[in-house]
Amino acid sequence: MTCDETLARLDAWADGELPAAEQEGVETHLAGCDHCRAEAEALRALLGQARALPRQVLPGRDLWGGIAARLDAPGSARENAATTLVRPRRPSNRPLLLAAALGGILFGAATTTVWFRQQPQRAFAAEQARYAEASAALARALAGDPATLAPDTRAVVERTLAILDQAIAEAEAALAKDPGNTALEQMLLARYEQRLGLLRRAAATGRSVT
Amino acid sequence: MHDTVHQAQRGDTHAFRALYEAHVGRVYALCLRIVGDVAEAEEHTQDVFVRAWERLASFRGDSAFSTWLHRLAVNEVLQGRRSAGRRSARVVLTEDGGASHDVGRTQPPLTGDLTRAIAALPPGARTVFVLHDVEGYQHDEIAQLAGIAAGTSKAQLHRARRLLREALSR
Repeated sequence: MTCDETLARLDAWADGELPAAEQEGVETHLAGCDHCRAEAEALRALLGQARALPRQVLPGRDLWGGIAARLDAPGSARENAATTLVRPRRPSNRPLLLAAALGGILFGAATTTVWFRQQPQRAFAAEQARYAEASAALARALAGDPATLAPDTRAVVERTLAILDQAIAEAEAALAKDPGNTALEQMLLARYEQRLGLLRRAAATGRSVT
Repeated sequence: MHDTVHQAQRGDTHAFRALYEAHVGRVYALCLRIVGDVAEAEEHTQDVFVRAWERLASFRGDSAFSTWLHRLAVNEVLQGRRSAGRRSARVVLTEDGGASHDVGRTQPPLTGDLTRAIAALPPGARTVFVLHDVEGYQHDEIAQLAGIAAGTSKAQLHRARRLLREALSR
């Protein structure tokens, strides 16, 4: 291995990312090359210093006052997020056409994209609360006006809802592990919108039948 | 700490302040190292805790609260959430990394050659170096967090290490 080849691999060597054969090649070269060995030692020293940096640095002033003022701001996302997030019951007693349900999902997905473009700065928590409120209202409406649903259609709709619920649960779990990830937040809100679209279609179909 | 988190989740701002006191040093250190600017780091730190307050309901205890908060802080600072008055530019994570100094930065009263050298790095290289070599993130994690390719993260790290070694050898 030449000096250039060795130096090009020093980062990966220091990070233990080289395949065994290349790792050995680098170390063999370092053993016989003062220049490259000095580079390797400087790199290792740098990494040692980086790892030894203090984990905590206190700010030069108290930041709490500015934080506290924003916690209690009227209309804060926290206020809205305090709404309990409860998904509505499945509209199992509602007449619902499968085509309408799937159409609602596709429509919801398309309109959600536009919706996000139009309202990029709306707080995630506020949107989450809006979903919870709308879901609960739809669930109440559906529960209060029971009707029949063809068993086959009901089964398919329930499976569709189960798929959406699973996707929502997975997105919520991912977000719990990676808070503040806006891509996950948007994915989750899109799933909420899809589910809302399905419920809205259910309610609309019921009104047209009765 | 677990009880304190639960109290804060129920809306107890005194409990949340206790969480702030316990974790502000860790969050501020991360923000300061990534942005290299005192005023911006302070604003990011405040943003992180406000966002944590808003997101507390999503903390389910699957990991330690400190881990959850740290991840939120990384997301917050990488997204470059800034108030209207924030002066320096958003963290740039492209191949070329942008300029080494942002206009209007308030240089930190840093102690230690390495800390100073990190603050002087171009933003992209600085971010990747802090996340990889100081905070211990892997390239694929950095790529996901920053929305860049893992290869870009490696290139930025290589650049950062080279620049730091040059700075420290002067």
